[in-house]
This record gives sequence, C-alpha cells and structure tokens, in this order.
Amino acid sequence: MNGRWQRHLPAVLLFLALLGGMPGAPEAVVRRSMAGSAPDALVRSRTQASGETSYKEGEVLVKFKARVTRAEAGMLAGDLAAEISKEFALLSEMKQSGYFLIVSAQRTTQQLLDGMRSRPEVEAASPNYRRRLQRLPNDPKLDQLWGMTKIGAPDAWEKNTGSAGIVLAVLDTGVDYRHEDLAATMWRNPGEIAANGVDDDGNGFVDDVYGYDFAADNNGGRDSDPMDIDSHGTHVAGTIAAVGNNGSGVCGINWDARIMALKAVRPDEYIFDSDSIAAIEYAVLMKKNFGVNLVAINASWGGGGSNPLQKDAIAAAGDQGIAFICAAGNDGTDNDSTPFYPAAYDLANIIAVAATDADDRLADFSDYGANSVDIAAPGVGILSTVLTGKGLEAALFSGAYTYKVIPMEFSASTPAGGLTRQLVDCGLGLDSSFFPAAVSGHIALIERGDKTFKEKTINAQNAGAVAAVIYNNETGIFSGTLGEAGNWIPVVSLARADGLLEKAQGTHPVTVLVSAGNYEFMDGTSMAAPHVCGAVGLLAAQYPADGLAKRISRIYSGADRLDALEKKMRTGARLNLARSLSQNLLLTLTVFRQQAMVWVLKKDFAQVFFSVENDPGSASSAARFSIYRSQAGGSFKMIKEVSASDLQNNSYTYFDKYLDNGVAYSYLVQALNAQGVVIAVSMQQSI
Amino acid sequence: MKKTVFGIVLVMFFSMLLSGAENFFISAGATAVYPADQRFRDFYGSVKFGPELKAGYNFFDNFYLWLGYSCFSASYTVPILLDESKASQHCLALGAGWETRRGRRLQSDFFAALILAGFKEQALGETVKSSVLGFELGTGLRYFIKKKVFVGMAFSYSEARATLTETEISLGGRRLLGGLRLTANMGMRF
Repeated sequence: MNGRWQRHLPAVLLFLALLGGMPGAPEAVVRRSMAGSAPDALVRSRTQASGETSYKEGEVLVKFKARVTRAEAGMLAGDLAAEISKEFALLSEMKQSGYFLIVSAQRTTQQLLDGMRSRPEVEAASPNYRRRLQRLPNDPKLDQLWGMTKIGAPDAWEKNTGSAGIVLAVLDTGVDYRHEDLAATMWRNPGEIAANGVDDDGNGFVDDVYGYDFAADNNGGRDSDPMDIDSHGTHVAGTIAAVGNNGSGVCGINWDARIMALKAVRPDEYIFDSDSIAAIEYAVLMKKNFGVNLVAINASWGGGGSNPLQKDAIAAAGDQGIAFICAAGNDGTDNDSTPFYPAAYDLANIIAVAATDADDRLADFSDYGANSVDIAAPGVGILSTVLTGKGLEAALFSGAYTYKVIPMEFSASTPAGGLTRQLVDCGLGLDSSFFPAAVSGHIALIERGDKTFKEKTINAQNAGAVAAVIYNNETGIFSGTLGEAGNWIPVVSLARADGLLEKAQGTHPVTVLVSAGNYEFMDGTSMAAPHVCGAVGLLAAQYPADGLAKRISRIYSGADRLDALEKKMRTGARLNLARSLSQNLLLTLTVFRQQAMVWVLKKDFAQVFFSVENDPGSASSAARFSIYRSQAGGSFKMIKEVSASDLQNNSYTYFDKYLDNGVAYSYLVQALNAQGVVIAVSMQQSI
Repeated sequence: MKKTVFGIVLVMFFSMLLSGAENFFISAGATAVYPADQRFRDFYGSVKFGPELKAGYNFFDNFYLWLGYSCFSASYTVPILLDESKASQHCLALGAGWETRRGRRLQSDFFAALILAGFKEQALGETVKSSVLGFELGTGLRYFIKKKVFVGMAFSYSEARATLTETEISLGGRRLLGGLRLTANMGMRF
C-alpha cells in the first residue's frame, strides 16, 4: 500500500498544487477595465424663486376635477368658509375642469390651501401669487434704438414692416393708447362701441375697445379702461409696434401691427395670478370666439411660485396658436435652479427672454438658464414710448454740435428753450468746496466716478450751479438716477468722448435742454421680451400660414449664436430679426436619452434627431450640418458632421454612444452653406 | 504567482508521464453548452460551442483526479447602436471521478469538480470581467477503439454564481456561469 501511495505521490502533489493555485474565495465584483469613472450625478436643487414671494391673503386659485360642478365647487368652498369669487369660464370650458378664484374673509390662504388640497375633488390649488414688473433703473450704454440695429431690424424691414391684421397683446400696466406713436397701432375691438356702457359684441366685457383693465384693485376693480398707470406697458408696446415711418418718436419692430392692451398690473406694480389668468382668458376668448388674429402675448413680469392654473391658462393660449413671451427675470440668477415664473413653465408656446447689452453680453441683471431660458434680446438702454408727457428728453447744444444726452432720473426740466450758460469744468465734483467759483449761476461739467450722481448733484447745487452735465468715466454714454424725487437742478449724462471734447474747450457757452417727453430709456428683461414679441408679430405678417411651432422655430433658427450666451439659454443665441424673417430653412432638434444594456454592461446613449424644413419653393441652401455637444456644462464641441446628401426625408438620426451615467449633456445643430457660413441654428436640447 | 503554479504543474505532469503506468488519460473535444443564465441566453443565444481539454490520473483503482478547461464565446449586435457586444465564459475544473470496468472496451464514468468559472463581456465601449468558484457534475461513456485510444461523450452540468454590484456601467444582480454541457471527445490513455 505504501508503495502504491508513493507511486501516486506526484499526482497528489499536483492536486494540492492546483488547489493552492486557486483563489480562496474570489469576490464576484465586476472590475472595470477602462480607467477613470464617471463624475457624480449632477445634482440640481429646485427652490422657489428668489426675492419676494407673496400672494393675496385669503385667496386661492383652484382647479377642480372634471366631474365637479360649479355648485359642488361652491359647496366645497363654503365648507371652508369661503366662496367663489370668479370662475374662469372659458378656461373651464376648454380644459373641461372648473377653474375658480376662491376667497375667504375668515380663513388664511394656507388654511384654504390645506383644506382644498385635502379634498379629492380638487386637482390643484395655488396661492394667488402676485408677481412684479421686470424693469430696472436706466443704464443705457449705446445709441438710441441700438437694439433694432443689433437684431437686424432695418434689413428685416426691407422685407416686411408688419401688418395691421396682426394683433399682439401687452399684458402689463396698461398702454397709453393716446400716445402719438401708439394711437395708430392700438387694437380696436371692432364689435364694441366705446363708452356706451353696453357689451356690444356680447363677449362679457363692456366697452372693451382697446382691451381691458383686469387689475382688480381696491379702488374700483376691473374696468374697460386699460390706460397705462406706470409707463412700463407703454414702453413694452412701443418696442413691439410703435408707429414707424411717421416722422416722430421711435418705431417698433412692427411699424403697423395692432396692440391689445391687457392691463393687469396694479398701481403697486404687482400683478396677481387671478388678474393675469383673467387677462389671458380674455385674449384666448377674443381669438377663439371672435376671430381676433392674436399671435402673441407679452408678459414682462414674473416671480413667485409655480401656479398650475396660470400654467394651464398659458397652455390654453398655446392651444390657440398664441405665443407667450416672458421676461426671464432681473435677479441675475440661474432659472434652472431658481425658477422664475411664468418664464420657467415648461410650455411649448412660452419663449423666455433674457437681456443682452449693446456689446452682446448677457446683461448683469438678466436671469439665465440653459434649460429654462430660450433666447436673448436687447434689454439694456432701450428707448421706447412712455406715458405721454411722463418721459424726460434732453439735449446738449455746444457751438455747432448737438450732443446726445440722457436726463438723470428725477432731474428737473429746463425752461422751454433750455438753459444757456457757461459750461465750467468741475473735475470729479467730489466736494462743493472744490468747485470753481465761476460755476455759480452756470453749468457744471463733472466726470463720473467716486461719488453717487446724487452727491455730485448736491455738491453742484451747493456751489451754485444751475445745471450739471456728468460725463462718463468709460466708453459710451450711461443713464443714472438721482435716487429720489427732490428739488434738483437739471442733470444730464454725456458720453466720455463728448465730455472730454467739451472739457478741452475750457469754459464756454452751451445750452442744456431737459423737457418732459413721450419717450424714455429703460433696462430690463421686460424690455428684451417685447423685441421677441414684436418678432413673432413680424413673422406672422411675413408668413401668415405658419403655425405657432414653425413661427417660434424661425426665431430660434435665425438667432445669432454668441459665445457669451452659450450654455446660458437653450439657443445660446440673441434674436436676429433679419435672419429669422429670411429664414427658409428650419432646424428642429429632438434628443432622447436612452440606456443600452446587454448581459452585464449598460451605458447611456443619446438619440439625436434633427429635421430640416424648407419653405415651399425655396431650395435648401444647406450643404452640411454640424451636431454639437456640451458635456456637464462644458463648451460645445462638434461631434458629428452630416452632409446634406446624408439626410433621409429631410431628417437625420445620430446615436451619440457611450454617455456617462448621471452627466448632463446638451446638443444643438447648425446648418452651414457651401461656404461654411452658419445659416441656421437649432434650439439647444439638454438631456 | 500564476506562472509559478503553472510551471510546477507542468513539471509534475511530465514527471508523472515518465512513470509509464498507463494511469494517465488526456482528451480533447468539442462541447455544446446550454448556458445556465437566462439573461445570457437572451442576448447571446441558447447553444454555444467551444473546445474542451481534459487530463486525468487514476490514483486508486477506478478513481481518478482530473483537470479540465473549457470555454465558449458569443457575440451580439446591440439594436439601434449596431455595436457588437462580445461575451465569453471559461471554466477551469479540478475534480475527481470514478470509472467503471476499467480495462474493458466500453467504460462509463461519473465525475465531479470544483470549478473556477470566469466571464468577460466587452460592449458599449466598456469591458467587465470576473470569476467565481462553482461546481461541475457529470457522467460519460468511453469506447476504446484501440488499446490506448478512446472516443467518448460526456454530459455534465456546471454552475458558478456571480453576484454583481450595480455600477455606473454594469447591471447588478446574480449571473450564472456555466450550464448544461454535452461533449464529444477523443483521447488516449498512457
């Protein structure tokens, strides 16, 4: 036996050796052969909009489920010691649900919300938010109407200057329908006879000639007079459709369209959702039931929380082919993380507009959002119409020169013929004791810097100056404010180059003119939005057969892509009216994120689909298309070039493989002609 | 370490060959595998073919120790992306067997083994691989067409369970390696 075992010894050793070579207990952990790993999942917080979020106490907006009748809704409200204040009848009819404003003198908004949201009959309940205007103090930097030039309006006007058959609504503080540059472009309800106290057209609104006043304030509530209370709405209206080629004032993007005035902002400059919804409902009613060719509503206001009822109202407008142009907001924040409503509602008919300055930079106050803001438009130093006589106009006459100047906010006016005095250089005007004695009774020339305009003006006044001209300490002109109304002398701002020219001449006579006028410079995304609203109107005039989606697509396709706007908004582009108007090639981009998986492995990929549409009769001028991708907020890089001949049925699908899990990607497509010039850009899509 | 072990095994194997006691056998064959893992079958198909090598040593009458290696691979085209995905499994077995009627022309045997089963998948720009321990059980027939040369068939089942951790690139859960195997082989005893 021993000998037999000895014979088998090598085999036993072999067996033991093999056992020793085997791993003890290997872990079934997948090892990745590629180096590196994907970054952590992008985490984005969604918080309420910054700034004041307020609502009307004791009021809620409620959307009931389809089967709930008005009577039942009233009973439910009664259970909460509340009552129906208003039914949005058209919206209820269109959406097959009951939409109501419910008020209570005994319950708080929170109690009403808690009570309503606990009821199964209620689909949504929201506070009656109040939202604010999106205007900032003036800070213009370039010439009058520079925005029109920047977006190529003069070229666009060669093709079309608008149509009286196109109606654009201004949902705002009202519109000065008597303004010299607006009276001719105001919409007039053809079915209504003014001031006869009768609802002639039977639309439920008495004497709604120019629109309606939905601002249900405490001083009389709603009425038929949408006269502006603040100039904001008039300023917006002027950019959209101030009369063109009439030899006075400014011109709008549309020289000849019609402005429907939907006044919903109250004297305190806030707008409640109940009022905005009522105004939108009116606009939809007039289009749906009365054949008004309303193509866009401009909403240069926002803030507060999301309201599903307001969203539904805007969607209902979209159902009628009405674009809803929103100011992106003036907080300088990212709307992706801090949504600003209504701009941030994810609706196809909303165009959220950021503001750019004359140098095509995003305005420092402008909100942005790679996924929540669509496009930019000029919004800094925009000159437009204001309430008649409520604006300030100014000029500086020196010898043979007439300089463009901008009156400071709260500046006094000069006598009708202006003030003619010696212009005396006063340096920076930091202290009244530094002012030369010669300035007393004359006009102080002061350089901007180191102190506020108010302080410099006080110093000039103390030194006896009767007016002040403050020239810039950097290139260009500017606008400023004296901070508050007061007993000020006339004060104007001047471009640096002009100021230095005047300074070089020493003390010499000039004439300063500051007078009440009908126009004024304003800043804000409020001023940017009407550029886009006007563009929608001009496109409707040029391409009346277009649907809403195509109209919006023309705007995005024609926009100028700018590095400064890349990743700041969906298009990464600023409005280019001329290109949009001549845009016969439309790019529509759709991107889906999908996951491929096999036995063990998985990986994300993107299905990038774009389609090309040419206007009938126009040959495609695109020679090729470039697909760009941005990863995790990085810069866009071309990932695929497609020849026009590769398209099938005018569309192309590209599968972008091997995406990292949890990483955000953005895509856009450019069309290029044979010379390599970009002729159309798609809207940016993020996944 | 692996090379060292492999070298030792080779040296010992050839030293045993030189003993000339006809207790060794080796065989080579082709095996058809019905993979145990349903998900694997869904992507890569139900029957896969591959080679098998086996060597054994009768250390005590009808009992033998054996060492085997087999593998198979498969490919799959990922829909839409049209990416080719490749997967392979291999199995290193070390076990013992019992054979009947030793010295007769027709023999049958039963065998069992501890296996080290591994897999590798290359797809979607990534690669994963892993290995786990499992087992194999089987039976077979051998027919000696000459004194030292035989042909045979074997039927076996092997299984190793890999529990995978979900990662950014891989799905989690259990995967079964191995499966039902039908092998045709030819070998010799010496």
